[in-house]
Amino acid sequence: MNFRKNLVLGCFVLISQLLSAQTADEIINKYFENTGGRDAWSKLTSMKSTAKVKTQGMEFPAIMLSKPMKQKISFTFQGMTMVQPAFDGTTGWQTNFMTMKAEKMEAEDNEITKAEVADFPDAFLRYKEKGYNIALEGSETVEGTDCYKIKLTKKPVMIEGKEEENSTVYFFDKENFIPIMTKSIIKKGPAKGKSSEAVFSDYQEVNGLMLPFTLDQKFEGQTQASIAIEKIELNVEIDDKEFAFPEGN
Amino acid sequence: MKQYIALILALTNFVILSAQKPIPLKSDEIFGAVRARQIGPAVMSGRVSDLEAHPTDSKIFYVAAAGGGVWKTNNAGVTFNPIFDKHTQCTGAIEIDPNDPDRTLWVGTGETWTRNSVSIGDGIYKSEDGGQNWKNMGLTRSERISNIIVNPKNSKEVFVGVMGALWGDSEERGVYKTTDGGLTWNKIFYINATTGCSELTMDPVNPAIMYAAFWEFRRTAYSFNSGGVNSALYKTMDGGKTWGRIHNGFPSGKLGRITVAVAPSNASIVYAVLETEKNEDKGLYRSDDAGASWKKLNGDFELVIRPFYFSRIVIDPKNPDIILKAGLQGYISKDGGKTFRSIGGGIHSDFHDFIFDPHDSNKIVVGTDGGVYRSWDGGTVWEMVKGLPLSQFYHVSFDNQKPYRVYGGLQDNGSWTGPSKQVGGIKNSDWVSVGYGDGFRVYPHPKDPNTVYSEMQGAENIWRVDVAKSQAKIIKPYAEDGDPKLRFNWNAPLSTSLHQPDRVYVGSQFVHVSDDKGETWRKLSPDLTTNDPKKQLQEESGGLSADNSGAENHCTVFTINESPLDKDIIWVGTDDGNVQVTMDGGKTWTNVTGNITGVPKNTWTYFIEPSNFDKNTAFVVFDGHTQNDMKPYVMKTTDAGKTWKSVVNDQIPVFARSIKEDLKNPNLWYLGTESGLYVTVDAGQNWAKFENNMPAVAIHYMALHPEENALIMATHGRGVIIIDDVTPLRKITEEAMEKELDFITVKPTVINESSSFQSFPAVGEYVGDNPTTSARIVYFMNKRHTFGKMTMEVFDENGYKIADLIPGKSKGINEVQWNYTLKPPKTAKGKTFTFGGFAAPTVPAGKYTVKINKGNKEFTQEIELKYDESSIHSLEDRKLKDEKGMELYNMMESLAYEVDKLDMLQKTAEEILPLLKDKKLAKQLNLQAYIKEIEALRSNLVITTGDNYVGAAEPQLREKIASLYGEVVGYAGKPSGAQMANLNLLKTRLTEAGAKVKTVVQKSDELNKQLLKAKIDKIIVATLNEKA
Repeated sequence: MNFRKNLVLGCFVLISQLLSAQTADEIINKYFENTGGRDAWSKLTSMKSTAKVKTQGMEFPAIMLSKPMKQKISFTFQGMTMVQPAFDGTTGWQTNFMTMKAEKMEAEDNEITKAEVADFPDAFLRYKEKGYNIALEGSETVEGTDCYKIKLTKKPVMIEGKEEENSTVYFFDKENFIPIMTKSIIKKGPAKGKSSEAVFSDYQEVNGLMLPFTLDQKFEGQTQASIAIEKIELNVEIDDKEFAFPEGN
Repeated sequence: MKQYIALILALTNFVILSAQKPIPLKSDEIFGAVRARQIGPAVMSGRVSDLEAHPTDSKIFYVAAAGGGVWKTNNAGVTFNPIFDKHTQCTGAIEIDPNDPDRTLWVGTGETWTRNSVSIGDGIYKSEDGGQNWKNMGLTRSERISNIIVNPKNSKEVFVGVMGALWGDSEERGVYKTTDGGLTWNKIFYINATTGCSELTMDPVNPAIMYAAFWEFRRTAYSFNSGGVNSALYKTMDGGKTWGRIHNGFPSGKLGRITVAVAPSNASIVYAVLETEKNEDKGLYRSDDAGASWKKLNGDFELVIRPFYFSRIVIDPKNPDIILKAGLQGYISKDGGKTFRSIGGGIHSDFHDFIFDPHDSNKIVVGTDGGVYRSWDGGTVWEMVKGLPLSQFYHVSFDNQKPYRVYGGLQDNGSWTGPSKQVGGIKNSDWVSVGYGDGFRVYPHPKDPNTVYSEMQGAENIWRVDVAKSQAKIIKPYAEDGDPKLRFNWNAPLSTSLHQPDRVYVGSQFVHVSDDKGETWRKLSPDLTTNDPKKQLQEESGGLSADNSGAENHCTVFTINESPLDKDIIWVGTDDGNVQVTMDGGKTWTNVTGNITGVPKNTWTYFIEPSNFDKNTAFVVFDGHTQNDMKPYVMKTTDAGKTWKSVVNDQIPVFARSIKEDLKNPNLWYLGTESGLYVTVDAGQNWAKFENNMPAVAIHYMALHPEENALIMATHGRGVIIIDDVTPLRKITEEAMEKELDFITVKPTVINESSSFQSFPAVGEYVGDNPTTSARIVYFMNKRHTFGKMTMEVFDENGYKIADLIPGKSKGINEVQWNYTLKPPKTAKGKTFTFGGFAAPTVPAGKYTVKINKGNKEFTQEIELKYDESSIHSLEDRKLKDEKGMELYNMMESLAYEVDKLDMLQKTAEEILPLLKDKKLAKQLNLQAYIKEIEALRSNLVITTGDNYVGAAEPQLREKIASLYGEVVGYAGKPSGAQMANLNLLKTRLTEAGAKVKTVVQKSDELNKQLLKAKIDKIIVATLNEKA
């Protein structure tokens, strides 16, 4: 009798577990659990990735540096380094391809970049403190894989003088609770309104954190560039000067 | 008992063994990288049913297309994004929530301009994120929604006018209201099952006041009726609780379609256009007391023309006396409706809707049967939007040119041919007109693509066109002595033969055949239709406004299809439901309709596909929508029509018009439905919707190109859409789906040798995508690869690795594209770029091995590159190019190495400078002079000043080599004599440079000896290796 009761109870628990809908926060918790734990993520102070970017048959080296509120992405073409872009906490800038000199971003772009840089070390870490909102928007199959759709909404940004929503949808693989794609709508420029996707794979462990080593950048579902990361260094010393706008260059 | 069980088991096994194993497909888990390609065109765009302007931001407006979905512009109509691709593309009403205009949008599906070829909707949709995601909010059986109005003071309160079913009775008609933002709906006003709400409009000041026009209407396959005693105009003053007729000043008798509009700037002024029993009563009525009384002002042609098709008035937001009326053209009044003038001369006719710019009434946008036009001067001159590929094809065919061309006819937009591929993309200007009027079926002569057959509505004309010489000869068949009147369908069957190149078929109630390209005709059949006289009264069609355009012609042959396996087997389907077949080239015909069960009587036989594998097998697609039956019917026979079996199931939610059986895999079929493409790989047991870049659009016809393995679709709203290579779909089997990774062999890749030319992007103009020219590496995976490395490398025949690619890691079908080049050479570092250095040499034709490493497993596949057989280059020319290109490639790298040495010498020498504290020693060594010498040499080898634009410095050796290198590898054929001579000269210069570098390096040895002696702990080095 007891056995049957336990069996029924067991089935009930199992079924209710299967049925219980995941909340957005539960998914994010599992994500952190499965990628090294919130503690390890919280202790992340800097990140340096060395990569090869492949696009239209070309391949060139790239280095990505990140610190809280600071970021720099630089590419090397024919031995020359182009920054595309950098942000030093207040000012965003990039190298002009013609003069190869640094130029500051337009004020609105600066604010958009600032909002992006604030994600470090991970958009979902302390997202409430950052003023972000998350919402589970159901399920969708991407990359042939059943995923939870979590919409992350940040504070609105100004686009051409008009306040607009700043959001990205993350697709978390239901099996591993790891994002395999993000999708956002291009906010500015001639492609405004079209979609831009980033697809993540080759997750590997680096000092206890699971990080993707391949990123495919897509436009309306078609790959534009792929980034193959060769090395990720965590908590390395990065001089603040690296990010600073090179005055008088 | 046991015996029975054994018998049942045996039988079950037998059934399983003898039938194709079912393969359930989850489309988003399997089709992966197989992606449809949209080629438009937008040269003639397509029918637009509704426009909606953002209430304050002039840059934003929306377009609802009759068959092409919803589009949004963010830049006042220069470019548009489709925002409704996942849902039915038949749309008719857009509403922007005035309380939240940047985010909350509503779309009503189903078109209200009820022509014969109109499609259907499936309810009301809402987006709360500016159109990125949509949710069906119900009213799924409404078929066509006329208006959606959000209470400007309360977003949760929404009113919807439902016009309802066109081909049958429906209780879904009426006015609906939600008070919870669309979660639940109440029908707040209903007349009867034949009379729907054709227009709903709200008072601009008081949301409790609304006007609703109700219309009694019905279409059958062979008739149309507009009007009846129930058509009326109603008004509510209490938010829809009670409604009263407001006909004071209207004529008595039956009414037809009514359009009503309230002036946004003065709620007392209301206009209505009436379709009435007496012709003299038809026209524009005006009320100056909010509908309490009416006065007829005007009965001009444009006001009364075809109310079922043109029934919209739009009033200037600021001036109640400026009125626009949609008609054959636009019609404008500036005196409150007393007098009008036409606008829109010189642009596409058949206007359906207008919007005014919210801030400047001179800026007007109009939606027509031929797309969207903008005027900046109040409607005098119009500019076409050339970026809306809404073309409504009825049919598509192809030729065997390389690249192949496609052919097809469009609703109200003629007949066209265009390329499947074009340098720089497929532009509007690449399409050539081969007919006029409404276009339908177009075929090239099978052996001579310069000869094209086309037709217009009701086969009023059938042409044989000499495309190059722009000659169109009318070749239609006529009734012969003793014949009854020939009855041609609006979309009359016309086709060439698979077996006899000069043969042409045309269908009236008879099959007509010509064996001399249309010069002479003979009847190949008796009347194959039901010839029901009750369905041939088109002169009486139209209701209150006679409308006998030929669109309702009935009891006609609709499809004529030869067996690809036997020239004497011809299948014929008729619009009144007959399926007829001849097995003897037309001598005798058998009506097999009676053998088909499960398909309602007289269901339109839309298409017949005789099998590619067995001559007694054929598929028939029946379309019941003109009998108000939206179910799909696809029947298959394997005994020439004696017995039939349905091959569709409830996975197909809507009616279909077209099926193709694959040319290689007999279990792979493609089904074109009214809402997208479905695919089965198990002979119809399971169907999956194909959605990769494929909108849920009506597919009227499909063709399979046997050489290209391409599925070409005629969509009625999104132009021609192609799946370039169906090979991966042919390989979907249960075994393949279970393997960790399984390569799919595709056709060898022809190396693209075309040069690139300057072309500035035509912003705003639609440019259709080209097929890829890259080599494709295709494989299945049974699970996505998310964790750990997965790599892909390409090796040449000698086993050298020549490329690293990033593999696709998706579950299902992956496709990786390789542009068959080496990596660009290492380039000497200078101050600026040398653009030739970005060029990468194309590898020669041959076999290459692709290796995927996944975990600890390796998967390999051979791929083949071929040269274009029609190329102007010989093998010897290409070989010479490859040799010289690689010689230059190596020269680039040699120079880079020499410059690296100089850079290192200079860098280490500069590091030593501050260590030389002893002035005597510093003077003796004179490192400054040495550094200067290095710099002088370096500046002869690479550019060391200037920028990448007009501040460019004089080219040095690097630039000269790189430029020649780029020229030689950038052309597929033989380098010129001058280039060869220049190569020899540069080779000499490079050797000289090498010698100079050597001298400088040697000098460092001498200096290093002295440094050693002086106990300086650092030496000058030329390469990192030497330092180590």
